[in-house]
Amino acid sequence: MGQSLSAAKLEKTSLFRKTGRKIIFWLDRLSEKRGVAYLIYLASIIFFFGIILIPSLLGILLKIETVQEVLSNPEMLEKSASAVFSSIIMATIVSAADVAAGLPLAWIIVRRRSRWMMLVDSLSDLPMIIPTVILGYSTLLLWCEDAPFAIIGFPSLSPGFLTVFLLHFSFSYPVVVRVLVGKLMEIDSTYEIAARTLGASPLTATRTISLPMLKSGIIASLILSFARSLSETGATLMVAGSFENGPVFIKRSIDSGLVSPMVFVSLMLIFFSILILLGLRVLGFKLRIPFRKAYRIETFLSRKPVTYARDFSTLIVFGLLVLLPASYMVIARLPLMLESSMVGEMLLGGIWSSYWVSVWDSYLIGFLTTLINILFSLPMAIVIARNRLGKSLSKVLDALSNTSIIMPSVALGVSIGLFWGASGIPDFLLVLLAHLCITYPYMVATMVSALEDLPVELEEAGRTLGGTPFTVFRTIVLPVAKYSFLSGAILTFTRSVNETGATLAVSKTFKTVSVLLVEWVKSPGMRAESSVGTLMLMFFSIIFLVIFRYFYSKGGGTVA
Amino acid sequence: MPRVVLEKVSKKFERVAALENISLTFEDGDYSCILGPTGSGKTTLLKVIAGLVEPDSGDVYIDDKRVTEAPPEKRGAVYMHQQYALFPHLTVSQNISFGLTSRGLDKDTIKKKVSDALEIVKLSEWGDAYPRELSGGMQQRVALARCLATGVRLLLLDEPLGALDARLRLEVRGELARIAKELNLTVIHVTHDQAEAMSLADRLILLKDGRVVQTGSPEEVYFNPNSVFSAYFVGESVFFEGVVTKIDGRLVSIELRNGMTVEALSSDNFSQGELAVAAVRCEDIIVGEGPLMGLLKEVNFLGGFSKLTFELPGGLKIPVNIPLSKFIKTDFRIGMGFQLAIPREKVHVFKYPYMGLAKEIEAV
Repeated sequence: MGQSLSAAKLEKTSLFRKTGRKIIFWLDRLSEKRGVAYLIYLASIIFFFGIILIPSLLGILLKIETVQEVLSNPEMLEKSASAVFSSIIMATIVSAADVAAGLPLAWIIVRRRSRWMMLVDSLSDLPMIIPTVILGYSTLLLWCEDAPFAIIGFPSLSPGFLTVFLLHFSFSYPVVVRVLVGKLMEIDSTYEIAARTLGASPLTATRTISLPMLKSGIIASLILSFARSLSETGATLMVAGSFENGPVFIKRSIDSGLVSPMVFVSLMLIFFSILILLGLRVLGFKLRIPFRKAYRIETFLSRKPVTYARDFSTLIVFGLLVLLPASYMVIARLPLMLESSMVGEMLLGGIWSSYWVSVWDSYLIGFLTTLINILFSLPMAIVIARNRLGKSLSKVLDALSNTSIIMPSVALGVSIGLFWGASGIPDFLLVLLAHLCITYPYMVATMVSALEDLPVELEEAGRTLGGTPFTVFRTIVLPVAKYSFLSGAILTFTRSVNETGATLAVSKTFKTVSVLLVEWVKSPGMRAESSVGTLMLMFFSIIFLVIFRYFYSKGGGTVA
Repeated sequence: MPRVVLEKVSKKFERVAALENISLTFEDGDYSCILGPTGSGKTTLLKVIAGLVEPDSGDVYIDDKRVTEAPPEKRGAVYMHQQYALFPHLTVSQNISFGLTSRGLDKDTIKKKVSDALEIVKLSEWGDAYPRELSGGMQQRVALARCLATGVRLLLLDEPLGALDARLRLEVRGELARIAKELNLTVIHVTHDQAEAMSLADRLILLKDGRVVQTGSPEEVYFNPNSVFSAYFVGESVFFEGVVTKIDGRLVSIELRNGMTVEALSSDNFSQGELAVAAVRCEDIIVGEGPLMGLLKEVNFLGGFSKLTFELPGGLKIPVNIPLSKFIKTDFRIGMGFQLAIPREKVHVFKYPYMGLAKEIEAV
């Protein structure tokens, strides 16, 4: 009995294998035809223009005449302008603070390689892994509602400018640290050692040698944290109080059904973000860090006690403003959740059924977004990284595919909503389209950089050894670049699940779990549900990450 | 039988011409070396044959079959990169089996061919190692084994010894020659190292600025360079710029700026008063006899031979290579005067290069 069962199983497996082989064989033959590759490239370019770029820009540009309404209404104009202004001020302060506090931490992580620093390195990713709405709620509990520091005399804050700053600081900080750590690792420490042996103090060596080399990393971190602060909507809504920046203003306009201020603020946000980011790039290249002089104070600041004090304060800032808000939620609410009878209720229905539906929808949209983006951005990345359609077209496509990174996601959502809204397509699809637009540039950028890092010689060797384009892709490109591809997939997936601003902008009725939780947190009677719902989401995120990590270490192909 | 023919092949990258109107034939079983300075178009030429670069015009034939547009995997030519391009995620055996699995061979055949290939390059013990665990020389051999295992008889080698240190290069050079002859392969080998090319090649192809300057056996190119560039790039020569003052049958007399006259035998047409360049190999200049007087300025002992630099009247400096046997017999002291002779049958005379002598050899 057992034998025949295993034989059946074997037959099934071999059938499965046979079919797999047939498909591979068929794809191999197909990839030999030149036209096929060009058809795939064409499809990816049509997808990019038709689904990503044009709706992101055209929706809002088609409604540009409504701006007149805002301009002719002084009160509305003032409110809109002040929201845009608040967004820019907030983003500027946050990005400056992020770099100021993140650079020393990145330095400690890279230059003081020890077991403890490895731990700090891993912990610094924590806020990046946690969905931003959870971080938002955690920030709200930590600084406003629970205010555990009241015991030592630190007053509880009321939601407003400061809490939004604290929130934005904690979610953009890990991004800055990650970028700077990566960049610092690339910089050979022997340059600094050479400077030291030539007589420079540690700080002088850092300022004159390493800092100029780090400039591109600093500019990239400024741009990323600025863009993230400008875009974030869901968590900001939780801690905003009376503070009103662009995304909060847009959400309120949507709620009250006003189109013109929403278009106006979106346009302004896009305009200013492009302006400021371009300025940062141009200025960044022109800006030179002075290196002709060695200041005496640098010798003093390089002394051990001073450096210890600096490292200590860096770690304190990291612990208090980043690590604690990221973990407070679990520390403070896990006991409550375990004690409460809500776990039973959660399975029974009531308001919880809407929670489960939105969790399912969120992950489904996240999955579809990732899948569709992989399918369409991979050929695009090949076109860009391998100059398949000429160098100049590659450059143009590269620049265009990056535009939506700097567009505030809520503004992007407004544009996409206006573009597709009139066509009457279901809200689920609308949200999917919005998420595709938001995550597309991250996916393309990751894949382009992965392909650029992959020596073209490996592909050439594979081809002249007899591999078809598909065989070479399947057995060489994919396994070698799998880590980067998977990182792109994780980034896309988590970004989609965490997204709130654009989702709110495209649909009033469709609720992803992030949107639902923002609503719960904002309703006074739902404190317990908010806590439990948020904790559950955190739990799911961790499970998903563990699954991804598993594939990360396992994934990849082998030679057939 | 792999025989490669290029017909009027040209290729431009943006505005730079990498190959200009190249027509060449590589005979079956020949070991050909394409020799040229950096940027001369050697690698492009090899990639055109491999199918990795498509020429703007012209045609490529392998075994009399036109393959100009054929994809690399359909050409029956295997290309080996300078940095070997071993697949980092695959073991040595898996690397070697890549070309075989791509051809759809069965497992047992693959296993046998992999072990045969490993044996040829003497790496049978290393099948399960990853490329990163191997030394540079071993990696080079794995790359070669990977090419050989495919059974393809046309090997395109792009600076295959470039990444090895000097001693290893000599060793692998011998191995390469042995394997190529044993397996009767047609090899096209790109290098900028003249010693490597001279020792390996049945036929040399000298390339400069995307054009073929000279082809022939190493001896032909060495003893009969057809241009200033050939004389400069293959072997070591001294160049004299001057004016043709006398033509007597094949004998051409060239007067140099310092008043000295160099005579040469040439079948080219020169006219009196024309600018010309005379070239003589550093080892062909005779020390200890002859009409010239040179002051010894520098002595470099290089083992098998020594390089002496003499200053002629008018400040003209010429390097001379003399064998060890002669070096140890004579007392060469800096500051001493020596008689020198430039035998006319050893002098090659060329038309003065259009862009000037310095320009002709500056790119090298």
